[in-house]
Amino acid sequence: MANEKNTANSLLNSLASSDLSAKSLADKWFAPAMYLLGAGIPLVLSFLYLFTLIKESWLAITAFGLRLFTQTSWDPIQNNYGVFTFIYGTLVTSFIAIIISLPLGIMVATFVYEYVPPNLRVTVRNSLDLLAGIPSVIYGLWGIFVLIPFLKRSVYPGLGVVFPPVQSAIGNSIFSASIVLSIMIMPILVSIIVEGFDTVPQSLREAMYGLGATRWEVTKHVVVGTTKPTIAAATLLALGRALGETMAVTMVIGNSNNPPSSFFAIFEPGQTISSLLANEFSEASGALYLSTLFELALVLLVLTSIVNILGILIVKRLKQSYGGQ
Amino acid sequence: MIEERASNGFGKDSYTSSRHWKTRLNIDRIMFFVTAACFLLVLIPLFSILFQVFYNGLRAFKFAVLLNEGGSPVSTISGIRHAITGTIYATLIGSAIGIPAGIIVGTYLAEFGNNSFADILRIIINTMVSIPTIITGVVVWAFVVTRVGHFSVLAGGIALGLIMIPLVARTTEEMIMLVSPIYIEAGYALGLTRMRNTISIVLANASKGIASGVLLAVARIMGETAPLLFTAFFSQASPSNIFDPAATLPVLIYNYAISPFEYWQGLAWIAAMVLILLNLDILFITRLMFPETHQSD
Amino acid sequence: MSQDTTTASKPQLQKTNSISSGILENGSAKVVIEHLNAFYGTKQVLHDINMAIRDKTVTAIIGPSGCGKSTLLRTINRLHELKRNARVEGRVLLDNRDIYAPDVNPVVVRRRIGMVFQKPNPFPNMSIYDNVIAGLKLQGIRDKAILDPIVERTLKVVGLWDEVKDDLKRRGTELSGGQQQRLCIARAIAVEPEVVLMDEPTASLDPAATAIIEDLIRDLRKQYALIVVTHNMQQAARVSDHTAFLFNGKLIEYGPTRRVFEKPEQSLTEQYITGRFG
Ligand SMILES: Nc1ncnc2c1ncn2[C@@H]1O[C@H](COP(=O)(O)OP(=O)(O)O)[C@@H](O)[C@H]1O
Ligand SMILES: [Mg+2]
Repeated sequence: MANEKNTANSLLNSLASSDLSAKSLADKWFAPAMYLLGAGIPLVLSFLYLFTLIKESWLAITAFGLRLFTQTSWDPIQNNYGVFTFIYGTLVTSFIAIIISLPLGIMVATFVYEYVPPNLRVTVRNSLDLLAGIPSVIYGLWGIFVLIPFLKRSVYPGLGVVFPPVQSAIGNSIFSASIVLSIMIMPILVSIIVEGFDTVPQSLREAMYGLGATRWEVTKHVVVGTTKPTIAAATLLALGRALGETMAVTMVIGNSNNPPSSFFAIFEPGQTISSLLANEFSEASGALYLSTLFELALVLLVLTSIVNILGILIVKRLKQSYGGQ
Repeated sequence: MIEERASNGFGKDSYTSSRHWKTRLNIDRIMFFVTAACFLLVLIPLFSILFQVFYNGLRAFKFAVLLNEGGSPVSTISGIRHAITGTIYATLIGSAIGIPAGIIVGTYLAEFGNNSFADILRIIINTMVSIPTIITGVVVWAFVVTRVGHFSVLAGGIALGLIMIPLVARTTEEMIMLVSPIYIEAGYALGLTRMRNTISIVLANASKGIASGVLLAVARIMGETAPLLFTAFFSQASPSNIFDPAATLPVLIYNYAISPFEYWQGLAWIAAMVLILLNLDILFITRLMFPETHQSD
Repeated sequence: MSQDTTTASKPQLQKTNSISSGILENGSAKVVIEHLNAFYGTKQVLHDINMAIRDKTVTAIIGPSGCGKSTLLRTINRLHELKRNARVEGRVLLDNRDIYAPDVNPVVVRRRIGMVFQKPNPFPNMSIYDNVIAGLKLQGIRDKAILDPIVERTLKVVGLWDEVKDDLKRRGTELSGGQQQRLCIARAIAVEPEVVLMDEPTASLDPAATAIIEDLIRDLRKQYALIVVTHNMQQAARVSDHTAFLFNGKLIEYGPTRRVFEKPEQSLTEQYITGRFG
């Protein structure tokens, strides 16, 4: 009602203030300007990002080629630039975070959507929004002073009994970073999965109940079963988030440029692309050093963009197929 | 007459033994508790973070901290005023860039974007939303900091503005799409030009939604750290103009948290508390001002 | 089983009074509904329903839209209670046992009562084959040597075998609407239920597909107690043995279909059948 009144008012206002017959100069230029700016801003921006990163990293690209990614020694003073350690750190932290969060996220979404009464869902969604809105530097602060002491005190000793390498674990490690990441990607994961659950027609659930399924069986076979593409999209978007997360990781990963001691060296300190940038970019001296860091930023951009575009395309396809019904 | 095989004695079942029923029903019951436990497990960090920020923040808090500029960790009168000033500067500059540009892009997509070219732009914008923010810091360093010759709060603000553009563009488009086409057609039917119709009908009707989306975007950039590390950088004094480097709350939290000084660590908690309060304030104001825009999203 | 033992073991049938006259004269009741009230929140949508439904017959439930047909059907397999704020009072006896007794798990009830919905709803994430065996899989049956013959037999019953036998791996949702509905019927009867509920099973189908389903309903009656909701009176007349007329949540008339259509006892029924309202 209020909305309609607004419209009526604004209609009257604009009628009163405009001579309908004359198209002013501004009117004439409006559409072209909108095209120019509306389409121009995103295009120029994306060009700016790509152009800057490619231009600045050109020196390193031509100097090292693909060798950069296979070499493990990072020692800018000796002009050794091997970035394997950081690629490893980036992929492994994100991967472990997904392994932890995905099953948890599906369970949480199940609880939120299939088990709790709908009026409680609002509260749940608000808490998730809140979790998503906390700045990542605060996750890092909490990680340093709360999570890591807790892990060292209560988790790693127990884990070390089962899995000896953990005994030597110091607090700041790839694994600690993975845990912080898994907490940070939970809201995006859960909210997309819940959205997916929401599109499952009630009649499919009822058909499964009608066959004598329990609530859990309905969730597993029908709800999760039909939501698989959405879950894949949620995973990709969460992965994109995890790959590029900087502050929280930087603050708990230990920032060690030493190559991983084994393939599965997750209980040692490490470094991701973004944490390396956070640590070394403003102090980097020397053209090659700086250029290598730019190349790493470019790699990170390409990596996250691919993952995100895949996720976005899946979501888009899903929206279309549901819209068509 | 009736074969009593099912666990609860309810009738015959040609395939399943009562044990099988029992197992299935038990799994169902157990899964309720398992999912509930997962849910609580996920909420624990949330409550822990909020609790710790306020507990540690309040423990270290004294009013002078908000009024005093930064200083050495041994002078226990140094504060975080410089970082509050810096955050305000950077956020204002970011908003001045991000809000108008974002609204123009969003309006373009909603009003002129019914084609496959705009679909590509949408994908670009959605990708830009998820670009790691540290990359924006690196790009702005190359583009602005090297040109100005030194770190500045202006460069930081530009970085925040770039991050804000796709966020604002996205909500603007979404909110315009919610405006009923009837209004828009009514505008044209009355002979309004495209510009007048876009401004006084479309944007006017979507303004509440856009405003709430913009506020959320402001809250988001206010908490950004990574893009400021090599742009606004850091300083122990409030910037006197936009070409000065400046501390911001998030960067201060980072720098002081990893420092060995207990006093600075305390300041980091206070800064975190201030940042969360600002964030919550904005969230709260948004919900209060525009309750209807948050029921559906 | 003689008539005497049946009536002796089911004393409650006497209560199903005058409106269900002629239902149980020569047979046993599979389902008995007693003093059933159903609610959504505080809104009562079924008022004191009493009816006995015979095994191996087709019982049609007719009535204008919104009168509570679907709700009545869904109280018989306890699907009703899945809706928000939905509540039931009264008893529904399946083989003389109350399915609403506190110790009865609805999951077990639903296993014995199949359901077919208004809109065909094969599981979109499953193949034709997997749709048919979905219920059996729940019961832990995974052996192809058992499942294959069941799939073939069931799809033959619904007349789908010849049409799909070469692409059982295709998704169920790729079939035509009529085929999908037959697949859903196959899915429901594959678990060998005793009662099959159908809620306007042809409402979204074209006349040709409708005719096939109606034939199938008549066929299935040899094995099951079928309860079919329809708001199409011709359909009720064509397929059913007994017809119940529901109006505003009350059971107005219930009896052999011919009698209900040719000599309705209630004037309301007559008005509805002759098309004066609804
Ligand atoms: N989920 C629900 N919440 C509240 N009322 C409902 C709900 N579903 C159905 N009703 C109401 O219950 C009555 C009976 O509905 P229904 O059994 O679907 O009728 P029919 O199948 O005969 O068309 C209708 O008045 C309908 O509005
Ligand atoms: Mg109905």
